[in-house]
Amino acid sequence: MSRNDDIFLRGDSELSEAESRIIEERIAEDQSSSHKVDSLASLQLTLAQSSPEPSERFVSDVMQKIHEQEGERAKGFSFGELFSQAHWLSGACTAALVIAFTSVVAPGADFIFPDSQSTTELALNTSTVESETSAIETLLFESDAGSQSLGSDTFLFSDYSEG
Amino acid sequence: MAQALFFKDQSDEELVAASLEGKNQAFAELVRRYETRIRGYCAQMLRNPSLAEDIAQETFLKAYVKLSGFRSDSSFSTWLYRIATNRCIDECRKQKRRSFFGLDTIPEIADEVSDSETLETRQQLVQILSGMSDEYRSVLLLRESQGLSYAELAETLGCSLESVRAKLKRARKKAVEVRERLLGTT
Repeated sequence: MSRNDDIFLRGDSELSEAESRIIEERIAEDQSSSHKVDSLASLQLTLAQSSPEPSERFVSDVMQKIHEQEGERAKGFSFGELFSQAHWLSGACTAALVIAFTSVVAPGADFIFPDSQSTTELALNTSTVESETSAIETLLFESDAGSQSLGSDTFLFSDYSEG
Repeated sequence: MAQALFFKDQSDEELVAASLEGKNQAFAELVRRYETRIRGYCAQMLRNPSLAEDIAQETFLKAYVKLSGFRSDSSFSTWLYRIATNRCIDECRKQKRRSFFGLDTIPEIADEVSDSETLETRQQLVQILSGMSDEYRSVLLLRESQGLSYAELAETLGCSLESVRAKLKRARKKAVEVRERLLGTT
């Protein structure tokens, strides 16, 4: 690319006076050469003449469409808001269930739920924990029974550790 | 009414800022200011009056929706022409596809012409424009009909001044060729 071609790619503020003059000259040259051609001159005149009349109806039609579009967008937005509220509500319910479960059913237990955990997953986890709890209860029951059979002073777990 | 009169004296930049603040009367003034130019340009580009009105409306609607993305380093008018040009070229391509598959034909008469034009000139003009590619037609119309400067053309078409010069030169040459062919002078 020559230096003269390069100046057409730069912004006006970056051009020197001489460079700006080159652009102006080349544009003026184009203009004058195009006007020399009669057929083009008449075409240019015809093109310049063909312009529609101002239409207030067009303006009101455009503004009406904008109004309608804004209305639709407002509807879409309120639905979106509702959806986001529902999301928050579901999150709050999950949190409440976790708190209730950890404080009432299994106090002190360390449960980690991922953020995206659904209610179904929570229910599954609850049932797993419940079945584990009952298994421990059964074991304790049996241990109690076992310790009773060994005598009231016998302590089951210390027996195991010693054994 | 008083508000409409107030906006009449505002610059494009002030009207854009007011529109962004939710003052629809300001945007209505922008539509009023540019509607004849955009409608005329779309009519010449598409050569179908009713379709041209729809596309001109869409141009303003798109401008309204995208107004927050408008950067004041270009003028509002060239930005508007850019939207109209892209929309018209898209529409021309759609029409060509439909025409190719025989779904419809491109109407040949544009009714947006001044009284001073003769029918002969009008038909010639339509034929000349029809014989040019969409890109050449748009650059020629923006320059000769809409009176955009080279710098404004570069902004509208998103290219360099040199590229504008080259495109315009080729478009003019093509227009002369089509006209001479129509008149049987070659």
